[in-house]
Formats: sequence, structure tokens, C-alpha cells
Amino acid sequence: MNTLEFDSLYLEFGLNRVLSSIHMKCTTGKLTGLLGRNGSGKSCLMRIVQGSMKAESSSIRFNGKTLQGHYIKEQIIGYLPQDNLLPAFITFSQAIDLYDADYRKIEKQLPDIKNFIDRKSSEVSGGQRRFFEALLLIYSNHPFCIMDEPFSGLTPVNVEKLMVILQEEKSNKGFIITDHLHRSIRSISDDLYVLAHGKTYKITYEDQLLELGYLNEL
Amino acid sequence: MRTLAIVIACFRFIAIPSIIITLLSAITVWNSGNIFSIIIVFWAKIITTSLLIAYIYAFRSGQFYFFNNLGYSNAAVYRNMVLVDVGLALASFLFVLLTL
Repeated sequence: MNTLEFDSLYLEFGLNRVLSSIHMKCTTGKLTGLLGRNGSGKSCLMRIVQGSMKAESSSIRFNGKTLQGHYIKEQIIGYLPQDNLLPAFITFSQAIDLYDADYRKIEKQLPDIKNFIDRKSSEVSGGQRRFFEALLLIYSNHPFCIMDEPFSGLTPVNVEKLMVILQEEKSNKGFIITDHLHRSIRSISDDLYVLAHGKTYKITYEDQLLELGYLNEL
Repeated sequence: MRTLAIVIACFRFIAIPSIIITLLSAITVWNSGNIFSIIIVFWAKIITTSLLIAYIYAFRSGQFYFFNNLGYSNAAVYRNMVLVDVGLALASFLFVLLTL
């Protein structure tokens, strides 16, 4: 079982403190959900943990070992950004080859892929591309996967399908997921956090979502 | 083989303008027939490559996550781009020099 833990994370933009008191823990076998209002710093937090964004200070640990410097090359964390993951010039088959992802599993979940496997990512619909990008990361070899709005642009059928896949695959890798479809996130998360006022709050009872101002009603 | 595929994929961010500029540079040296013109063309190539990198930094660096997931930092992606670009430019200049 792997563990990804981060705390002591501070981020400021000028005088604006975006992240100040963060503590989150994710383990294999658990799906960790992160909710937060627009502009609360969720994407910044995810990019800092992924390693592509620098914070004023941070402590990120993988199985107790502190990750420092350019740990991107260790390929511990796969990251699905809010925008497109695949560059426009990459074909779907190239992406599968480079990520060494399990094609059979992807094809099982996305049978249509046979029709566009050799096309560039810019040549298919946004929903199909997004679903493929999520599957690509889920079926690649990173022990942890951070997904920023994986459900955006997906049809309701594919949202449900992706939720089932995530539940199935969490035994193989740890997931940290944020999305504005809070009911979906709440229903699949084993641990749920809300990012508000630069701090993470672990949700232990549902009314906390109201108290933290994330929801107006449950 | 996989590393080579990733290096080439990084270069594809700038491939089309870079190859066009390299070919134009080589044709300019060829037409001038003067070996010393390569110095001017070389610096023109450096400047245009810098501009291309600046463009990618400003407008396309959000697509680097694809390569981050493969273990390549943003700096490594830029390094791969420049490596292939300079390699192709040197090869084309060398070819022109040998045939002049």
C-alpha cells in the first residue's frame, strides 16, 4: 500500500495568501475527494503536489519519504489537468504507447476508440477525448493519480461509468479528485476534504459543507 | 526507442515553423555561395528559435502535463525541443557547407 501525504504548504500571490494550512493524506485503496469554490486554490494545490508549480514552502511525502526537487521524473503522480492533457498533435495510439497504458482495458471501457485510435486528439469530440484522457491515466503505471475536474465535458452515462471505474481501480492506485459535480465526488470518496480560506478541512459530517460555505443546502 | 519518441514529440510543438526556418536558412547560405553568410544565418536561427520557445512558454506550456506524466519536467521538454532544432539546423548547415 502506498501513501501520499502533504502539509506545511504555503502559497502566496503578492499579498494574497492562497494556501496556508494544508494537510491531506491519500492511500492506495482510497479515493480522496477535494471540493472547493471557484478560485479557492484547488488547481494550484494539485499542481504543487504534482511538482510543476513551486510554493513558498511545502512538505510532500511518498511512503514517508520527502519528495524534493524534480521528483516529476520519478513518475509517482499522474496528473489530469483541468484543460486538455493530450497535445493536439499526439494520436491516441501514440499516447497509449508512450504511457504504456493497458489498451485492452481502455478499449473495454471505451469501445469507440477503435474508430479514432489513429486520429490526433484535436480531431475527436471534447467528451470522448476527456474520457480517454481519464482512462489513460487510470490504466497507466503511476501509483497516484490527481484528477482536476475529470467529469467536465462528459455525458451523464460516462460520468457514471468513470465513477465505477475509479471505484474498481482504487485498489491499484491512490486517487485525489476534484470536480464541481459534488454529489458524484461525495458518493465515491472514501475521504473528503474541502479547501476554504486557504485551508483544508476533512469532512466528517455533511453539515460541514454548509458551515464552510461550500453548499447553500444539502 | 521510447526516449527518442518522447524527444521527437517534444520537438513537435515547434516542428513546422522550426523546419521552415531551418530550410530557408540553408537555402539562403546556398544561394549566397558565401561560407561566411552562415554566421548571420546562424544568429538568425538562434533568435527565431528563442522567439518560438517564448511563444510556446506563453501559449502552449499548459500542454506540458502530458510530458510531466512521462517523467519529463518543463525544463526537459524545452531542452528536447532545442536539442532537435539545433541538431537539424547544424545538419542542414553542414550539408550546405560540404556542397558549396
